[in-house]
Amino acid sequence: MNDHLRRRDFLKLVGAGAVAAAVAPQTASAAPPKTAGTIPTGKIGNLELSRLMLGTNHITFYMHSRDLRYVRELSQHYNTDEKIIETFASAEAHGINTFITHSEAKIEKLFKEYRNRHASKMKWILAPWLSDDGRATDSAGYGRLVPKLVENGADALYVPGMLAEPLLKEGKGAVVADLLEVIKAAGVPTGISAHSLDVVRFCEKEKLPVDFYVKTFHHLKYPTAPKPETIATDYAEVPGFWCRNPDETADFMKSVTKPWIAFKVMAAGAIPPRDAFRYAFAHGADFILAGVFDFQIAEDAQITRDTLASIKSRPRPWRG
Amino acid sequence: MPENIGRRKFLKTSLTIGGAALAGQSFEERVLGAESKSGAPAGATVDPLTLPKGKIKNLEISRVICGGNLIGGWAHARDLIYVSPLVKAYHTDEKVFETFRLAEQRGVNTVLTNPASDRVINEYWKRGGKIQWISDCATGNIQDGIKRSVDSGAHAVYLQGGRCDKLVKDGNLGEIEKTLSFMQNQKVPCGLGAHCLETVRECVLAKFEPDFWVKTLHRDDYWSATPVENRRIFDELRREKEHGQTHDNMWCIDPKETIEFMARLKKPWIAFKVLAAGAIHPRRAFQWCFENGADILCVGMFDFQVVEDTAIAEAALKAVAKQGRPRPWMA
Repeated sequence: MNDHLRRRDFLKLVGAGAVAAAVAPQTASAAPPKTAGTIPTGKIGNLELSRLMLGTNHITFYMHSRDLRYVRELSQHYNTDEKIIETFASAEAHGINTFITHSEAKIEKLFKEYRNRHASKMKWILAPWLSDDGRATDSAGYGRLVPKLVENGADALYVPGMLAEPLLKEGKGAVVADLLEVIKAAGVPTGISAHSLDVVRFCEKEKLPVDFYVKTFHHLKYPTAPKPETIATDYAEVPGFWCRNPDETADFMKSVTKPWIAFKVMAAGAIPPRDAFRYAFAHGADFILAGVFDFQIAEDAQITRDTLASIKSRPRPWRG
Repeated sequence: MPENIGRRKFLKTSLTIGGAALAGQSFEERVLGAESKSGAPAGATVDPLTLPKGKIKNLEISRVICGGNLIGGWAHARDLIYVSPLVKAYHTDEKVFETFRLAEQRGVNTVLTNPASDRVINEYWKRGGKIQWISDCATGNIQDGIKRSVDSGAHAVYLQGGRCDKLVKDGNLGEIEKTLSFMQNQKVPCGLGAHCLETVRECVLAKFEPDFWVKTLHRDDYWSATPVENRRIFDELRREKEHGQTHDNMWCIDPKETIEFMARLKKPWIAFKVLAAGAIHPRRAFQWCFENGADILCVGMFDFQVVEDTAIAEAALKAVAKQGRPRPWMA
């Protein structure tokens, strides 16, 4: 095992003590998790959000694990419902106050259960996507789904890239604008996510009602990354990459005054967090969305604190 | 080029599910949809199975045995840094016992693993488990590892592949000879391991006589395999960060040559890394390995994979028994 893993294992053990202390009593007392640390925050609208946010793919099992197909099933068996609730509690205890996910019945139920059981103050940012009657992909579907999500406790909503990107490619920018308007009308901060920088460019050019962007961002210096000159798509599962043009992205985002939540910052597990977080924050991200297993939370929270403390200035001002 | 073939097949498998039903969905939606299909959980009621066995000296060993890397948390997940800790976190002692029990119920009677797992194996035996243990002896000083393994009840021992490769790479065949002699004095079957075919060749040239060989064997047509032009001898001993270079992704860089060379050896062959650490499905691996000369397959299996994997092994062995194979069974 390499030094990095040994260190993570060590921190896991150190962190486990703090988390056990923070989580276990609350399960019985229904009190918020005790603080095991705080993380600096930024603002989107009136929401005060931790700069490290808990992602969802590892608990909804979208692992993006290249040709290692068993990893999804392993995650599924590891992250039982109870473990997922423990993960929320551990995240909140370590100062991660925001959870971001696609709308999906199971995860919505679990997060609500967590909030109720722990009197949690964790914020919830959701991408309307799946509803009881299938995929919500147009303003009518959003019109039905968005109010339900807000009623269920969503603090902010965003149009997912997997809807926005094909729509823009098909020349249906007006539909994207409609989806944003539906969210805006619900009275919560309104965002849009993208793997492709073109989505951000479009929204900025058309001055669409966007309060924040959720845009992929990672470098391409990991062994399974594609050679930059071979990249022909915005993203791919194999070779796994989700930000084809990090330099261009960082450069364009300098001109964007809305908050930027960067996601896939570790290229779905291939870039160590210390490297990934520094790269993202130093190049302009205001927040980082990271899939973090319970045994990684203590270390990743600390890396976030260390990284933020060490960045004295950056080309893009903090926008959130 | 194998990399391209592997990639095409992988994408085909990933993305053709559902065909027309997926029309209109984005690329990511299709991938996520494919991934979200739930796998079968480990069942509470599992049909027992008897797998054929081979023999290494007096030891009867099922033709598929459990690998130990999953228990030890060495996932070899390329550059995916979270997988080994996840594997380790998943495998509580109780989960290991559950996995062993299920394996035994499905005809797997042996686990091959590191002496670091001696505590959990001994605890499993105390609870009535019967699984046999082949130790790779790879903890600290090699003779201490051998002694510790035998004292802890190992049924067979061998010089771990990585260590044997390193000794051959360094030209230190004398140390291998000394180790083999020390193992032979322990009165249990003893073997030599290798990832690199050169290691086996050198040991054969030196006229070493282990009771069995533990040599990697896997196909090379999976997406994350090192491109042919970049494969180097003793690759598994190094890690590169550059695109297309070795990075904990391949353990048998020359399967064709391995098959040809091993065909000439008369001792039992335990083939390991047969799934290339998770990149090759057992359906594409087991029958291929048995057809190509392996006597016993060492396979890392999670509890939720045991039932399917043993069923595939049973079918593979039946098929090979029917059609025969060039290398006679040596165990």
